Amino acid sequence: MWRPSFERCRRPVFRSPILALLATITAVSVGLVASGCESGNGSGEPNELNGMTRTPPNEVGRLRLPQVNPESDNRAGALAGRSGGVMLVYFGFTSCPDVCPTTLADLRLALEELDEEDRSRVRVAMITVDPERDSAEVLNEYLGHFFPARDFSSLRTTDRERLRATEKVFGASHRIGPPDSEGDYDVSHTAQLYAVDDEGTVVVEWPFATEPSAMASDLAQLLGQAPEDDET
Amino acid sequence: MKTASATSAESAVPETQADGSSRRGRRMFRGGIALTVAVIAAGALAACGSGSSSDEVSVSDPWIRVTPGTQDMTAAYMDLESPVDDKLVGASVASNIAETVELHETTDSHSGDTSGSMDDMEMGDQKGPGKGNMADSDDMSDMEMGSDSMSEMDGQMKMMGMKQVPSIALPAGEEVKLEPGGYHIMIMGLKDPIEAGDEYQITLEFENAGEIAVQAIARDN
Repeated sequence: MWRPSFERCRRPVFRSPILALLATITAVSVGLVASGCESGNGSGEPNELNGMTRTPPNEVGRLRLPQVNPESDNRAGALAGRSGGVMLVYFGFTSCPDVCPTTLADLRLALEELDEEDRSRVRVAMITVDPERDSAEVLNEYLGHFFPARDFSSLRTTDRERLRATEKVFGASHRIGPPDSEGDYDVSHTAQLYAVDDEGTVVVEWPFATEPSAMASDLAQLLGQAPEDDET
Repeated sequence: MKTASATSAESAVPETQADGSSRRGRRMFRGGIALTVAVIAAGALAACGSGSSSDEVSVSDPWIRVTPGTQDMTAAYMDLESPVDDKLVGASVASNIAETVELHETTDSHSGDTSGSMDDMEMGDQKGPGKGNMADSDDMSDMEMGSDSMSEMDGQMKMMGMKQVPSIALPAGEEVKLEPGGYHIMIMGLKDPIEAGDEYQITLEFENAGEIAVQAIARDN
């Protein structure tokens, strides 16, 4: 069944009635009704994730995008966690005044809730959907505001088809608006954060405005479940 | 006098003195009409003579987002509550801070569009991962313009964008939040980066209550 579902009755707490309403609309639109919550994912597996999961999950591990971090020389980087780790993938742009910085600032708070060992296994990857304005330098500086340099990947391609193809696999998209008289333009975009495990499977997606504690709790659980993790 | 109602943010911010006195007279006539209309509508003519201090808008937790990098724009947020029906009709900052200030709303291009999504989602069964309702990648080029083309991609495809709004309504006695993902004050053409911990004066313009200046503290969230 291709039916994303919240796997848990306790959903992310939203900041406002509007967001809650949007979330509800989204939830309903993906076929989730309250009654579905009680049956969980139907597989009988214990699942305590706050975010959205899909059945079957998206597989993104074959994707590669140029990594434009200072030391990475545009090498193609895989969209997958390192062994035993998780990569958190976000499609966004740095001229985004509201949604993107909110998400990344919330994510930073979430990562701060993790213990150091868990945190060391999380890498944040932002794929710019606005490569025209987001040069490597701009993107690196932007992410550097939120995360230590060793913890993020700046991913940027000017090949629109490649970007679209990447988005497609995640179920993401963006739209560049028409430029105004000064050449500025708006960008609309899907605003989920995708958690990808070391096999390239999208294991959970957090919609915009998911509380940091909800993300942290999911991450702790995912990292605890990682097969390479001998500690749990 | 301008105390916070419940605020969700972590830090309270010093409130600033209302500074509407000079412009107040100019606004009075317009505000008076609005008040009169409201009062007539309510059938409570006696309230006509109520003092102007009672229609002060309370502003709590004003904050401005730190610019994460080289961006020349940012957003400011706060909670507003007016004892009478009012509207936030504009905002401004000193010209040495930024060029343009507008009222904006972050929107979800899918709100209200829930039909057809389940069908779309089920189409994803046909192929492997990631094929979902995005079956036709060529459709993506249509998305450069016109949000309607998004209607066939729902569910996980909540597209968030932004639009300018002429005003933000403040129904009497109702707390209205300017917050991430919703209404915000969009500040463009920043002269300098917004630094964490600094305070920036933002002058709010209300249809009824006139101008109120607030000190917004800079933070990340």
